[in-house]
Amino acid sequence: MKLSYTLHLASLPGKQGITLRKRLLLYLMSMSLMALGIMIIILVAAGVLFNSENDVSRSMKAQLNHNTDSIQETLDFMMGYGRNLSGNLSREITNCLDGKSIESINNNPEEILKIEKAIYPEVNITLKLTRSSGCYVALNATINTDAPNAEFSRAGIYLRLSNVNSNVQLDPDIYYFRGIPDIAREKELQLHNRWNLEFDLQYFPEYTKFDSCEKKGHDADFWSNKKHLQNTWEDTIFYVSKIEGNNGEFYGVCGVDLCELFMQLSYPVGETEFGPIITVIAPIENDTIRIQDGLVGGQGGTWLNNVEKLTIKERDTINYYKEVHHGYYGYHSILNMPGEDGTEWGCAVLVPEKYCDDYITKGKVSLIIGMVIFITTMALISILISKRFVTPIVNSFDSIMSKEDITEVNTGISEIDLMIDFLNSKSKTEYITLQELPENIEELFKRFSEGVNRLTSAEYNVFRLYVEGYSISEMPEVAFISMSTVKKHNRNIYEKLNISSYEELMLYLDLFKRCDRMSELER
Amino acid sequence: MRSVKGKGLLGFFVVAVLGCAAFLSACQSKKEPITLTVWHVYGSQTDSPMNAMVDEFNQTVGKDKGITIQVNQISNTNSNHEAVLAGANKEPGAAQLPDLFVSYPKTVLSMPDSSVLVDFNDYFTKEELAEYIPEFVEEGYVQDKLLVFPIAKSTEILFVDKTLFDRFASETGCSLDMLSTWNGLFDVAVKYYRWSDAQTPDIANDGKNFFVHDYPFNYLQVNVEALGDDFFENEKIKFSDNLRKVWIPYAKAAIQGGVWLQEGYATEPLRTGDAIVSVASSASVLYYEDIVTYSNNISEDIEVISMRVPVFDGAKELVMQRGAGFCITKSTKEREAAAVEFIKWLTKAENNVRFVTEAGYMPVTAKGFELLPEAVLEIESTKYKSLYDTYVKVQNTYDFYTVPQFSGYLDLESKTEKNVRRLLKDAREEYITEISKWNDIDDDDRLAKEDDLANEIAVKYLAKYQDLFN
Repeated sequence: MKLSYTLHLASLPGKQGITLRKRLLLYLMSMSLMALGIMIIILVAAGVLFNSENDVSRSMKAQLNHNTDSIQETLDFMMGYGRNLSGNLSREITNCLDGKSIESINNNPEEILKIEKAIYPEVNITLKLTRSSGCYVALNATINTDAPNAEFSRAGIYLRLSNVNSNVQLDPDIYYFRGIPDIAREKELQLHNRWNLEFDLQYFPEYTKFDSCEKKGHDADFWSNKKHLQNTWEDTIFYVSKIEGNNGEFYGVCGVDLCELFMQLSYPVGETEFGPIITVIAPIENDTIRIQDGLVGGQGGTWLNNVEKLTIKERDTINYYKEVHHGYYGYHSILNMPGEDGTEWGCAVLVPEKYCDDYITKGKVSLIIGMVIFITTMALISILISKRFVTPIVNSFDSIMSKEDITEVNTGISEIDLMIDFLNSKSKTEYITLQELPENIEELFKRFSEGVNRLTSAEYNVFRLYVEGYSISEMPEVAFISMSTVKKHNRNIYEKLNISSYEELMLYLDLFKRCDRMSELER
Repeated sequence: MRSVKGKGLLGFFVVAVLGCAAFLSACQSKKEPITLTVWHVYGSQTDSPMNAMVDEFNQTVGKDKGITIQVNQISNTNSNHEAVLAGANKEPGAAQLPDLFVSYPKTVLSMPDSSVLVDFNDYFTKEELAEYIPEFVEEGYVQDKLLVFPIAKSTEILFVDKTLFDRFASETGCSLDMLSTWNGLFDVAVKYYRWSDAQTPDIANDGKNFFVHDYPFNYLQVNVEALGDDFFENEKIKFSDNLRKVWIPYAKAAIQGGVWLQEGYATEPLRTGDAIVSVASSASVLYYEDIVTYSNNISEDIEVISMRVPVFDGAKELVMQRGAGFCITKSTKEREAAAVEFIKWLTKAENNVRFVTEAGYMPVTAKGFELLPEAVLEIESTKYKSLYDTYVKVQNTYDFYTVPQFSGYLDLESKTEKNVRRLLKDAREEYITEISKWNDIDDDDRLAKEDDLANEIAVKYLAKYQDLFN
């Protein structure tokens, strides 16, 4: 009996299902996540959370700062070398002229060749040091004043890099774009495929800007607007610096050029999640960026190619730049870059409005759809859990209420199953009515109670300890007698009560208790 | 049993949460766009037809598939060759090889490790490759791998400044027909020098050159082969009688002033009027201008026409097949596939024909050749029309010669290119020095003596050329 009860207890954990606590925790978690999802949707819709506009704005500002610094550094470098070139050329030309005026060498190819040979090293080294796309000197003289359009023709040297990607070759290939070809052949330079002997001022009107300029020295130097390089595919801007003799005689102009390919390679389109970022340097005038006069970096698949100008609309969040058909988001800054006729130049980073808006909308919609799916899933899980949580409880209550014998009821909910076990065990301790007992039991009761009456007082004291639930081993201590005495009394008790084991004694005591007849055993 | 069900429920919950998280993550992320860098040689300093194609690709197929092609370098084949080798050899300061670059097989052969390049067989099916002209594809095989993919092929063409030639011809009786053989061309070259020298009787030896060949090495090997001999033997130049037959007339004309011997491309002396006939790649049509500017800053409009490259009497009509191809540097499968996508688009017949007719090349697919005549009809430039008319004639009458592939080829080529003009310049100086010593000599005797002297010096300098390889 003892063994079977132990086995019963041992089997309980195995029969236990998910506890009510776990089920409730799961349910609450689902509900909490659902609530979190709803909150996220509200925050996203309100723009508090996952605010893509702010991300775009931050990223564009960082890009602008970086590009502005980098471009300004390049420009300062070019302007510095451009001015240095002007000073060095002035000395070289003065030496070559040996007191003559520059115009005196008109129609004198030998003299012009001599000057070109003298200035070539300066032009060559400036180009190699700056790695600009080109370096030039236009002299105030021409080989043939009788040639057609001679008034627009000026001798000089113009060297161009074959590749403006300065990292490609340590010693770059240089093309001889303008100048007497003898120098190219002597220096083993390749003639540019669109070579010409002299500069055509019709395509280089900047040359004449110094005629009416009141500024002195390098204060008059400037960057030209973008120009198409005659007969080539290239567009470029020129840094134009005046070359003056000691007596202030106008020897010509010199400087470097920066072509659009240089800009495209140096500032390739920045591929971002919110669209391609384009970098522009261009004159800025009256809230307008004159794209057509400036240089545009890598454009990817954007539409800036043929844009004339962008109107600036400054806003709290991110600036908006509008041309006829399209809009751009971005920022701009002012560069320290003297432009033609005092124009101010700036650097702008732009991202097409369409790409950016698509990104922001897509991001929000995706997030909201995702969250709706998430919330729905959580709601379904909650319903499922609650259903699986409540139904077994209700069923078990029904079972308990409908069945007389609940020992067979097993709900799978550990707490309820424990309760049923408890109720089962409790039912075993309930009183048994006499009518429920078999007829011969009464005779046993009578014999047992008579036996109790025959016990000596010492034996009865030990019997009482059995009734009170003490074990034999505890009795010596409780009754202040020795174990041998207990055993002696115990033997007499068993004899007088006509029982053979402890279990039988306990069974009798249990029956008396449950039949509410313990009084019959008292003396 | 209930326990299993309980675990199943918990599992479902976890899967559902993870599933939603994955969905949200997928919503937030998108496929990364791919930007590929390119070095090419099409257009150099002029309007680049390749750049136009790149722009078109970027704005159409590239945009749809998230591929952007970015041109980082445009140069000529020589500069490109040096840049590729510098990048492949990882020379200090050299740029890393781009995703796509234009290269000749000879450049790939000179690379330290060609395994950095994609084998196009991995990305083209046999059926796809069958659409291309087999010889063009074959040329791109290096060590049994298709490493150089053809996108446009060229050949050598004789370009003539017809305006200046006609002026000379009207006074000398020469004609364009005389340019159909090398012997005829070199005779005319010497006549032209003498004729132009005579224009300024008071200045001696100021005649102008008539002819310039862009690649003397090509001249020598194609013509030796056309004479039925081998130019190479055991991966070395075979100095045979046929090489002598080819060398002598060229050298004689150069020694007597008929050939331009300065460095640089043939387009340069034609632009300055210092030469009027050239043999160059058909692709150089882009660079020939319709104007000449003389040293006195007077310019003159000219007409440039194309003709078939001359042949030697009795030789086979053979012409160099030229044109580099694209190589792809190995990277990720996605980047390699994107690069192949661009090449497939570029060689699609319609796109390819549009590209090649603007750049002076031949298409690379059979379908491209079918579309070519129609495309040629739409060409407005007489210079380009003349070129494509010549192309058709060349295709009908000439065999194409493809350079052999061996690792020492480049060395033989560069040695020849660097030294032949220099040697012939020295030869000409020796010639001028010698004839300046001749006094009181009869004009008829003079011409015969000059011819003998030129022949003698030409033979002498052939030996010097041979010495370069010993």
